[in-house]
Amino acid sequence: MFLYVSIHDLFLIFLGILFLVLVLIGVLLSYVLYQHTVSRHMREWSVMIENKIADAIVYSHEERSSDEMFDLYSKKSPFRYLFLEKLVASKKKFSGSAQQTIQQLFIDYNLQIEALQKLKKKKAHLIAVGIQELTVMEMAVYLPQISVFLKYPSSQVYQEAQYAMVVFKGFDGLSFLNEFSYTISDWQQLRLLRSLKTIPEDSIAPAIGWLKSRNTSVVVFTLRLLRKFQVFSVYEHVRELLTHTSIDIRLQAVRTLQSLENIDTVTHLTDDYGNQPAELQLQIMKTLKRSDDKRCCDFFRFQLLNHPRADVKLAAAEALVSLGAKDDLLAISGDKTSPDRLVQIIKHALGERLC
Amino acid sequence: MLILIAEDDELILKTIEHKLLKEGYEVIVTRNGKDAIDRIRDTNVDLVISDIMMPFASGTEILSAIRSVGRNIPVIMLSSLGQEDVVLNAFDLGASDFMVKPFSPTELILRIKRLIPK
Repeated sequence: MFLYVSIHDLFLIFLGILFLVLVLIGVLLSYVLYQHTVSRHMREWSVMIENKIADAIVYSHEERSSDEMFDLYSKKSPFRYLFLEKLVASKKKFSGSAQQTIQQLFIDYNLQIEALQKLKKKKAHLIAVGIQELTVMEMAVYLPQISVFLKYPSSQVYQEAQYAMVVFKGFDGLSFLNEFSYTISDWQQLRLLRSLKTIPEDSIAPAIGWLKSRNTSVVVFTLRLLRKFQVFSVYEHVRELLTHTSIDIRLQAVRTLQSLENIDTVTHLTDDYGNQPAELQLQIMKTLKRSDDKRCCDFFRFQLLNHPRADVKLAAAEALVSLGAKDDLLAISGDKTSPDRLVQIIKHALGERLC
Repeated sequence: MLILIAEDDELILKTIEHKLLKEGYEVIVTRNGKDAIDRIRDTNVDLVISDIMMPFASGTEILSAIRSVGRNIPVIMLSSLGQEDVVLNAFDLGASDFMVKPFSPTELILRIKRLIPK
């Protein structure tokens, strides 16, 4: 029965398809027009906002004429979001009084409303942007709202919240480390360290607590913090970490001991050397080499002659060159009983030094 | 006094332009390196403020173009943090001064006044 379709039916089907295509084209054109209008508005608004910011930076409040058009637009939500975005970006471009002016614009136009609205969104990146905006604009008054996000499951969000805490509260802002269970990425650790300018004298107690954390990244971060601020009084606590189960922590502990070096550090490291895996032994070698302590010569000589691994032997040979024991090395390499492999390692160390 | 600004960041460009106009300078604005080189060639500018990273020709290329024709116009370079090697290169090429972003527009004016006293 389907084979008997009249020309009239075919025409109706054709008209139906044509109608659908036309509707589709109409929808598409409307969308393109809408997008075009939005982007045109955005461009116009961008120019308007940039002029507003530039004028605010250059002219005093009294010198500026009132801008009714701007004030009218500043009541529209999309305009306000763009204004906020531009203000945050511009605060990073200027220093001095210009920064204060930008912050004053943020306050004058109550743009914290938009930033706080972002904290209520479900999308992690929007929450992160909201926190960032409040941080850049130094809105410390909203710390209670920001601190809620310290335990948020998205790293994007909790990292912004951590950064805000440290920016606003300095060392005290690190209290989230007391019970932090996620990993603090290397990038975030550096960001937090960079934002910390000083640490108080009573910072030792919390730092010792963090060194005992079960979270490896918290311990690593604390070791970096102690290095940056040269907290010598925690030396023994750092030394205890040389027996930690995590190799990463042990590596950081060696670096920290080097940074907090005292007269016994060389002895501590050489005593502990035999208990460590090769990776750590190499780090200890580097640390001892940098200490430039002649007492290490015998230790390096022993490692050069007896350690089974070539990379450790090479590190020992290079350290001896660095300590000025070149004649010793030449004597060993000249000894006909020395194995060829050992001679090659010594020549390599001497060659690198000579280059 | 005629000052040329070469900067592709619209907000920084406008802020410097407005600040210079307020201080009574005449200003030429350019948004890319090639345009800046052309304008410097065609006009007698007294000072150039140039960003280092710009489309078509960098700030150091603008500087080289100025110095290659033997013109001794003072040039203030604007650079971002972490461009130390580029800044050193700019000084080798004869940059008069530089400022690191984020920068203070007020301080920029002071540096201009030091280089071209009215």
